[in-house]
Amino acid sequence: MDKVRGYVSTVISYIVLTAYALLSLYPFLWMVSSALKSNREVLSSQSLIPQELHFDVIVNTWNQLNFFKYFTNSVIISVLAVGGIVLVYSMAGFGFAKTRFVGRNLLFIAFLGVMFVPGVTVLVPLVQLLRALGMIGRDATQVATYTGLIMPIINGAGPLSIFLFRNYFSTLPGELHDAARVDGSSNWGIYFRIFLPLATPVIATVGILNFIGTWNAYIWPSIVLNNPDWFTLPLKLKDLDLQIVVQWNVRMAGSLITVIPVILVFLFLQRYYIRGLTAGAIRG
Amino acid sequence: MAQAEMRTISSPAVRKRRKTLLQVLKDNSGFLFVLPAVIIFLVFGLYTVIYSIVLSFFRWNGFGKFSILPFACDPPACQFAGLDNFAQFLYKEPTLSQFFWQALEHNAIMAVFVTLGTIVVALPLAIALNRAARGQAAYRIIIMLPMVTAGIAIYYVWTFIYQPDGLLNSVLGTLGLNLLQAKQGWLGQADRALFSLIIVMIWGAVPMATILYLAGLQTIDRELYEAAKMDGASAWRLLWNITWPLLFPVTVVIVITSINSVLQGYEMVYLMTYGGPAAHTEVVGLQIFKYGFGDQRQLGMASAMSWVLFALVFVVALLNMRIFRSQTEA
Amino acid sequence: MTTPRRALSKLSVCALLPLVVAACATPAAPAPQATTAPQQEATAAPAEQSSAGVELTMWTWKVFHVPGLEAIAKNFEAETGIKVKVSAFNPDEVYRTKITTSAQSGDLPDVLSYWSGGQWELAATDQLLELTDVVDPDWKANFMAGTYDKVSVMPQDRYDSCQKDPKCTFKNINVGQSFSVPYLAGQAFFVFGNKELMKEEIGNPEKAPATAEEWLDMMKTIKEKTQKPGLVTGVQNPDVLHYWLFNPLLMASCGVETYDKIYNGTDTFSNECAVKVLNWMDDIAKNDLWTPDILQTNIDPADVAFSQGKAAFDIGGTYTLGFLIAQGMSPDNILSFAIPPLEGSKYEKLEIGASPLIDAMVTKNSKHQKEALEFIKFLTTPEQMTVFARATGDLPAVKVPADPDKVGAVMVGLLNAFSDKSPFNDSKAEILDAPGKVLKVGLQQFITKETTTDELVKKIDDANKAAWEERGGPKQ
Repeated sequence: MDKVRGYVSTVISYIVLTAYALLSLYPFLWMVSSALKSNREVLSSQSLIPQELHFDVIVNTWNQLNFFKYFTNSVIISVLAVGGIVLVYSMAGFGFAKTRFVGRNLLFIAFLGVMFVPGVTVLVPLVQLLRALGMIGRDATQVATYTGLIMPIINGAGPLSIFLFRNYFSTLPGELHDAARVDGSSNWGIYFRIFLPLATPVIATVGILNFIGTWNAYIWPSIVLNNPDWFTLPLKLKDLDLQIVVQWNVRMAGSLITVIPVILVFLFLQRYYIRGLTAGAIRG
Repeated sequence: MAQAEMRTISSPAVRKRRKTLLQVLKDNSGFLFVLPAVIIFLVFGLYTVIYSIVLSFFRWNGFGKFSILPFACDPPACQFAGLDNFAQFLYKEPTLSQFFWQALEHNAIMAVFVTLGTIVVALPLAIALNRAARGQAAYRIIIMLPMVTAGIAIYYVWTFIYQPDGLLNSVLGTLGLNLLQAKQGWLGQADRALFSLIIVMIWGAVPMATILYLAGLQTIDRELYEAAKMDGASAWRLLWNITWPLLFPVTVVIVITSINSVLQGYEMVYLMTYGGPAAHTEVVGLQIFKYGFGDQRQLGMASAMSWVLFALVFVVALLNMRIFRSQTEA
Repeated sequence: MTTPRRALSKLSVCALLPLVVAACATPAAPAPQATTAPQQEATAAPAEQSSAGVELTMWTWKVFHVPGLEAIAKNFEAETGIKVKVSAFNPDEVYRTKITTSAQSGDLPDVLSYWSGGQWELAATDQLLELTDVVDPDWKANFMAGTYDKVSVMPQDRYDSCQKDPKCTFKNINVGQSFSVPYLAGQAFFVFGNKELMKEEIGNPEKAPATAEEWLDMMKTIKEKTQKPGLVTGVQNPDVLHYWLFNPLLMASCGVETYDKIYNGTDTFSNECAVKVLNWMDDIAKNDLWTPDILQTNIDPADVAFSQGKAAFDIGGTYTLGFLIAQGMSPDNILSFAIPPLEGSKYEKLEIGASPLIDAMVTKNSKHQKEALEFIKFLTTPEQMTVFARATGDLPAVKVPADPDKVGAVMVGLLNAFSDKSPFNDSKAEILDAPGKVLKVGLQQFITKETTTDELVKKIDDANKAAWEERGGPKQ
């Protein structure tokens, strides 16, 4: 009896999963299929299977995008931003979880509160700030401009990252800390040699979330970047709209090309990712 | 020991102060770990927050100068408005305030239904995923995919799904549910549009929530279930008495992030309905976006509205935490 | 630790950029107050050096204009040796924000594209080079009627209403001042009919309806006989019903004087001539003559639906015809006519004119104002705008030859349909934000069957009254 019940519920599980997997996948498949259709077919047919395959659209779009150049720019920005986020906020998370100082809890709550600060109206003051720091404008170098682009992104990632790192580090047993202390390690030694290497899962979590966000960012980079040579992929993507009429197949092909690197990063990191969330978000 | 030592020294006062200062510094050295984050916030965050608060008391069209350090507000592009920005959309200007409250009502409906919907879909999905020994990794990846692909292109795909001859109506037709079809398109009918947007939001939020729940489920001790089964508890009882309470912390995280993203989000509405049909999907985030970036150029108004929204999100988040705390203590 | 470094980098920037002191500056140096309008620039620019080797930048928010503008830039370079780099930032909202932030950081391009009529706020904060006496009669002669004169030069009525409005931000701009020249225009009062549907159901496919009532009857007949809905257009965009259908009908029905009075708050929407228009639009909805999903149909999908024979009529803009043909519709199957006025309208036929959409302007933070000015002059010559028209299929604000070999047959059709005597050229109506929004939502509410003409009239009038009160009283 119990066995039957178990069997039935397993079957139901698979039905639920398959149904939802289709729902998850459908829009993505639609995007892929549209990239292979003619524009007229995109607008007139609901079928996922193109009547006629137009691989030339993807090839042309790829060439038009000058993919590697802008891909490199996007990689530089995303990697630096994610690197900065992981370094700065893993330290902060460790500080909040495993060390003691005056006003620790208050500061932590203050950081969390910043999470809800609205984003729209801060663009103007940010640009004024970057201007004062020499990080924006026609005379700013690429290094300075990218710094100006990345630092606010790092700042914006603060609250959630600190939250995840702190919670993760608090789940690690106190004995680790004590043992190292007995060995005469300073807090810094403990952080770098013991805690950071243990934090792979949460690094993957914070990394992937922010990689997706930074990679897809559109408004902020279009504000900061003036020199087309420094553009990121999403900024370059808009240059595909060269005709008065939107070419949906070209747009979809461009989106597909842009999203593939993210999917690869995601596939690579997802294994760690889940463990990171388990530890980071659950045991609050 | 330290005290004894101090008494023997000739100028104990100086010595004492230096020593304790050193000690204080050492005791608080953990702060150094937090320092980079604090510095980044002070440089790149604080000014913008203050600026945005101050701006909400001014009328400014975005040209000319408005800055805090040094303070500058050059008329006529910039004028001091006091509380007028807030008054305008809260009650004073009949049209503006009517649209604001209507938008807020839509936001509230969205927040409630997106949050509930996300939980109702994600939890069974996570339980199913947890059961599926074979193929779990593959299903997990596919279910998480919208997290990565969700973006402008995907919103457009949904508009195609919602057309009168789109996927949704076809599926309903095949199932014989013609009554449920939206003959004028799911985004075109006053009574369906908001609901249709909510579905897309749930679709976008489910992957993250599912993974959070799955992670939570994997930490629950199997023995708890075995013991309860011995006592003859039904599956429903197991869910209600063991799974749900133990996953409650996860639910709180989901609720807070969901409400925050619903109240602040506007991209989806911007791309899919632009607030239509006949303002039935107007949301506050979109209004802020239009005031801040649109042709009306009222950045002070946009700021004021943002801060009202901030206050709301903050209060709701606090209430959640409070409920959470009382639940876990009980 | 960071403070000195920050100060240092700030210092070095300031040292490098003597021109942009404003933000570096210590206590003083707020941006120059623009209480008196700027008078003397351009020609006063430093020493007459050779312009060759100079590189200008130009921004727009229309990505599909870039190839056309680049083609002109290439011609310009061949003639003067001055390079022009064209960049696009879209959508509109991002472009506006980009301009706001760039004005803050002193990074505006040499040549800026901006919405026609929106340039005053930029000019009022001293961002733009004044062109008042620079645009001489020869240059002025290039522009189509109702473009430069109407929107690029500050008109008396706009000045007066600004002076009255406590919130107006360009009080320092005087009548007759000018800071920009238009290069793109548009107009959208055309109806396209599917001849095949018209032929079978109403006999004569070549007969355009003379009145709106007749047009409505045509739609009804076609709907009865074929089950095909009568009308499609991009209603999801809230501006479409308002500007493409309501305004032309209102203008014809009331005449320009009453039209202006209604919008400017000295007459009301309860005027019989306006009520008639609202009733007619409500009738379209009541008779279910719109395509079923009209409220989620945007401009492009509407044209696609029409080209596929899903509706008998389509209301379109400047480039609709080109789009329909690109969708595979035969030009022989399309009947085009101007929106027909209601019976008993003030005008029996509505003359259509071009209205300016995009202006080009030279920014003050340009280091090459002379060259930039030279470029916008070059840009707005008929020869170069012909190049633009052919490359983009969009309508220039400059008179281009109606020659199919040069600009294409579709464009020629448009050009020939324009009249210099359009009442819109004389209109001084200002459509304020709040009542505009109420109207747009209300027109959609006819389709969702949530409002009636009476209710809507009351709502717009209340909103319009409140909005004008706020601005110091109706515009006389």
